[in-house]
Amino acid sequence: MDVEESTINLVSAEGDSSPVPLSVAKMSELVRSMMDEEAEDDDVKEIPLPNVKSQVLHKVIEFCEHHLKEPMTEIEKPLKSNSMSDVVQKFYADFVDIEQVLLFELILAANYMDIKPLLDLTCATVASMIKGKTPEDIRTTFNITNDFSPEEEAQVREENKWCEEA
Amino acid sequence: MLLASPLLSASRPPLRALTHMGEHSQAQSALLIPVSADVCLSNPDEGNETLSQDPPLRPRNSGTMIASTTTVAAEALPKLPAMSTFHRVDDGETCSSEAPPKAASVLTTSQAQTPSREIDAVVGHGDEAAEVAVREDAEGNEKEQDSVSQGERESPSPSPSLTLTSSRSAMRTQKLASALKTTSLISGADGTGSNKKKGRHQRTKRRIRGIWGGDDSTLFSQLHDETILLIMKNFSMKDLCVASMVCQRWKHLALHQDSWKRIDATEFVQAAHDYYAKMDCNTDNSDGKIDPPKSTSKALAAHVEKFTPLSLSIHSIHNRLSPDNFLSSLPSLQELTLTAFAELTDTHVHVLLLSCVSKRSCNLRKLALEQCPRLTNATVQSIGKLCSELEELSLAGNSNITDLAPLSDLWVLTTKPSPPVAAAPKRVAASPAAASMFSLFSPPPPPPPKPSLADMFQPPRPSTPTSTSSLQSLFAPPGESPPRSANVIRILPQPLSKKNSKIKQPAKLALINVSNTGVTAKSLIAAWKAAVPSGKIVRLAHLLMNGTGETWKDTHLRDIADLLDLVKLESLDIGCRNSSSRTVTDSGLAWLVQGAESVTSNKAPLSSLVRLNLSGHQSLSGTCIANTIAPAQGRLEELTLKDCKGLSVQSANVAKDLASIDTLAKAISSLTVRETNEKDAAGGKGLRRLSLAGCFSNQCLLQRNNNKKMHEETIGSILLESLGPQTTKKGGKATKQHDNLLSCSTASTTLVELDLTGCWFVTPSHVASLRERCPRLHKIHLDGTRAMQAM
Repeated sequence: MDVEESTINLVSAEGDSSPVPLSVAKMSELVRSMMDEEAEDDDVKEIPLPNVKSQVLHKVIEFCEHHLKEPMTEIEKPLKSNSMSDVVQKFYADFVDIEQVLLFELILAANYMDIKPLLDLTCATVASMIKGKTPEDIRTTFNITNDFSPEEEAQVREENKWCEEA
Repeated sequence: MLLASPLLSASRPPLRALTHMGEHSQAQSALLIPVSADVCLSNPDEGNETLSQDPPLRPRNSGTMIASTTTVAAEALPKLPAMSTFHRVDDGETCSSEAPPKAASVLTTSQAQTPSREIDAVVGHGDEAAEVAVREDAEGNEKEQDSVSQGERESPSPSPSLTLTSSRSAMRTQKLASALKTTSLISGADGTGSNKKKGRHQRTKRRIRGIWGGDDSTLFSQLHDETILLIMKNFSMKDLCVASMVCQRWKHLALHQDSWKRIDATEFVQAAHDYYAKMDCNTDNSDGKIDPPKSTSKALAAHVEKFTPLSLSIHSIHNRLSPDNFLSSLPSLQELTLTAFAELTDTHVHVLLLSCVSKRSCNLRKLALEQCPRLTNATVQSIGKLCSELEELSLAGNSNITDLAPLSDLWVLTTKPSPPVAAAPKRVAASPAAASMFSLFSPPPPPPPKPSLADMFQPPRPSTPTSTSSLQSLFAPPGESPPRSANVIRILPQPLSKKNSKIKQPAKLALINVSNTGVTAKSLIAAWKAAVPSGKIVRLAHLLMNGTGETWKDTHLRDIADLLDLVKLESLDIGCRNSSSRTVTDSGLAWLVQGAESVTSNKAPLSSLVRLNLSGHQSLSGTCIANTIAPAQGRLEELTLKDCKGLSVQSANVAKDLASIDTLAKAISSLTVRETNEKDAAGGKGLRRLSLAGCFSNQCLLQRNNNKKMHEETIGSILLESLGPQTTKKGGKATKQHDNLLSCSTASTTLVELDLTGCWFVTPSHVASLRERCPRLHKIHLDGTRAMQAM
């Protein structure tokens, strides 16, 4: 593979086009495979990403650019801490210190664009927000409705009675 | 890739086919799975490409997907119907239930003729176009509210955008199709399916609005099950149990087999024990008394035995579990870690290992029984007898374990490097071909290499017993060390005893950790000598044996060099903590490096080294350490030189110290500093962790010896400067270069963690310059330095 550092345009849902170096764009398996596939078509310089908003796409590009310079350390499982700064380098901990909506959009984008380290990081971040909380806390944090019937709830609580105290 | 295993990822294309066909073509899907699974498994790369094209808007009820994933992974076929029926109502029908069976048949039929990749292209693009349509559709129809009750309502109000986009998708599909010369099939499917497609989009829309309509209340409902499973992979067992109490969907996912593959039950055990202990206090002792450890064990078993975990770890158990009621049957277990289990005895271990035996062999690959005070050599015997598949064994911190002789069947043996052609006393590394042969299957070893001269003249050391004694050592009762008849020099090749020649599985042990145990260097070597026929050496990737026991001495290292395949060694930890004077010196370390010059650099001893710990060996010089790490150029990631006081001022010979430290500084510098462009060329990741803690004593500060102080400061500066890229090369004389460092544009350093505890000479300006030069430096320990005092 020739290492010419040409750029490629990633087009967001809003139609904004961001020029990105090939090496950065290829961290996305989606982009990589689209490029491999249309290799004979040399003028393909735009990749539409209709599922990714501009704001999210910028975050994704920021991540990929940094990841090439400083690869993220492997995240240890199970998570040892509620704070991401104990788990990954400072850049990455700061990177995911964002509001929930954006974080979840990043997960979706990482999933869609198939960027494993970003998916790992964002998933671990959500996990760190859940870790150590009570079920009720979790429901309030993420606005989840308790859809257990009273009997079902009694049953799961009985099965896990010992972690009520936590 | 969403799922780590290539097998799993490879199995995904059929999954998509499955979901697209939905319930309509159960029979067909059953046909499809084996066909396309075969195609993809035989060509995993193609599978990956397909996956990456796959847009994320798959139906959320990926239960079917997961189920079939596990099916392909030979997990459990019967799970498929169970999973799909579980599926939640709010999805209504599968989004693409109408996505015509015809399309699927196109897929199947053409799969037979064309390479799978091209097929993927069709599917990928068709999907993508469809998805664009869906998206626009969803935006165009904002009025329609998303609600579960709408589940079955067909609202056929095709918006203009829908027709537009579906024709677009048709165009695109057609273009590709013609390229594939399967036009008729595809366009037929497209033509007849276009009406149905509308319905498909109508339904998909409901789900998609949840994602893209910005409805904050349902963050998790945007995510596919497999993404949530990915989140849950970060959970400990306790987190999983808590998650199962949140809502139906979470319960389903948290109690999914996949979530329980690797379990950390540490927190579970603590919480459950606390709960039962509290109960115990609250209840009257009149009726049934609660025994907290027992109840905890039962609760653990009740949760874990429902699943078939592959890996289980429980740390810091202490008295919280009762070994009598411990997990009784986990035949699938491959990794087990139990630390600080106070009550665990040899018998318990034996029973536990027996329970891991299925089909006459134990599945355990990794076993760690650390800091369990009641374990003795009998445990080692059980392990040696039962765990034939073991790859990693850690017995760290068990002070009553002294003997590794019972592990004789577990050592991986490899042919000893052929003796040098000339009479040169140097050993030559084995050729790869010879080294890769397992001794057990090779013919009786050739006449052993002549014992080196040094062997002959060495003072008594535990010698090679005859074959009978090696047998004895197999059956030695616990506590008894292998026979050590002194002063016998190995002369004859040992005939393979009958027992050894019996066909058995080749051993796999690659890691052994006996740090802080009663196992001494001496007894390890004795065990190896007893188990290893002459002409063979032990191959081990990781040897971890630091601690307070009898420290390593030069002669031990010489024996190690004789018995161990140093070429393949990746971790060597021979640190020691108590500062006895009898530690390894330069000449001992030289045994390990010996022979490096005579062979090509990539096969030299220690050339595979990734981690090296030489802590506490006080007399090692910088030059010697530099020689040791030189072969591992580009591979070494962790270097621990704690309390290696030999690096500081040794003698009045200032010049010698400086030269020595300069060599080390250069070696370290070449390990850490990489040109950005050649990062990949060098192969390894570069040195990431370096510890120099305690190498330089605080004594210097107290002493009024200014010369010595200045000298040590100089040495320290040289070392610190070696840790980052530089624009100017320093000479033998140290200067205050660190004050005017220029950041170098192309070079960067790989260092992530640096321990400078007790290095008094480190000043704030050092630290500032380090931070500037080493952008990746994540942790830096500065206790006891001037920098720390200044802060």
